[in-house]
Amino acid sequence: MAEIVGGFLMPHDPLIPSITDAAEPTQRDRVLGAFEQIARRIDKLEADTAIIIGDDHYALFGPHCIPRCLIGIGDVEGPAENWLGFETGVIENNEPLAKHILFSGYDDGIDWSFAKALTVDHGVAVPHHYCVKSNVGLRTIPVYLNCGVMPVVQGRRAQQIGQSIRRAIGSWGGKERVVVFGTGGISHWVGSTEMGRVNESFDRRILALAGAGDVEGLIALSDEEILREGGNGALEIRNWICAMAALGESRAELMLYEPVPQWITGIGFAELKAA
Amino acid sequence: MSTNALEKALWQIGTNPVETERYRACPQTYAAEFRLDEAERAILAELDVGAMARRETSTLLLMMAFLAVRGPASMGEYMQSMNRPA
Repeated sequence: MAEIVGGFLMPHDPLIPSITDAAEPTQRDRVLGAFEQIARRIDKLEADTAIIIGDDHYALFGPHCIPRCLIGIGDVEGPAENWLGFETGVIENNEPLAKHILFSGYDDGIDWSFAKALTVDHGVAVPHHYCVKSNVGLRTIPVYLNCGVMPVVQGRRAQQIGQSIRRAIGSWGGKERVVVFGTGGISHWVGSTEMGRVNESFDRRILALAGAGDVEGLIALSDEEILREGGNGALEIRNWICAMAALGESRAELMLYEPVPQWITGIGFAELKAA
Repeated sequence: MSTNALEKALWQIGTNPVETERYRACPQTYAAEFRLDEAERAILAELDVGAMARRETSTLLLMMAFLAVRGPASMGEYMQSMNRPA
């Protein structure tokens, strides 16, 4: 039986690779070090598949079609953005397991969309670059939740999707060892007049809720409260909810928090541990 | 009358280099292709991101389209436009 052997919360901020040196050197080094720490931890966990839960930024999916939740079940490549500084290339998928998550999700009532040929954006590409590439043989299943375009995925639905992913892995006949990434920034305002603001008190409140394993507390945060206190980018904590639900009863053990206005984001890293 | 149509135009401009070039060649002609009222056509043609944001157009799209049209070094100009009083 396949099993989830680990989980992590991390940023996917595109400014980390694209303007790395804009941050204070100590902050930059701590953030890059946290990514490296996760990559090493994945190696120790002997994981062979990473499910990366990210979100589109109104670039892959347009006003004509915005999936609430989407899974890549076929070819995956990326990144879509040439300004990240990454070489565009193939991202190896675990297609059989991805398809099983899709069909198992249908049985659970999850409204999955699916992609047969997906070019990922930084929402998946940044975690993949820093935490997957160095682990030879580690395959990636990309999952996109709509956290960027109103109306966004609800916290409760993000939890249900995560729970469905967990059930799917538990019912899969393979022997995969899976890690799950919940990705995204905490407070950040993207493209608005407040861009560059970081709300550290909001960030620490989110990290405290995650640290206590209080998924219900995270779900209770309304769109309006998140937008007011954390900005439009902070809706990405719904990706975190999904990952925490995939791990089952879990709490987020803080690895690092850095408020980085130069990268316009409150940045948090945590390892998900059984509660 | 349609933030949806504004977002459709901005998405095309921001994600498709051919569309970006068509917009650059004649913003007024490009704006006329969408179901917009006169004021909306004007702010799209002027790439007045502040005015479009006040109509609740997605700021993700506004930034992406602005940088596609004006270039990746135009972030300062974008923020000036966003902060310009109505």
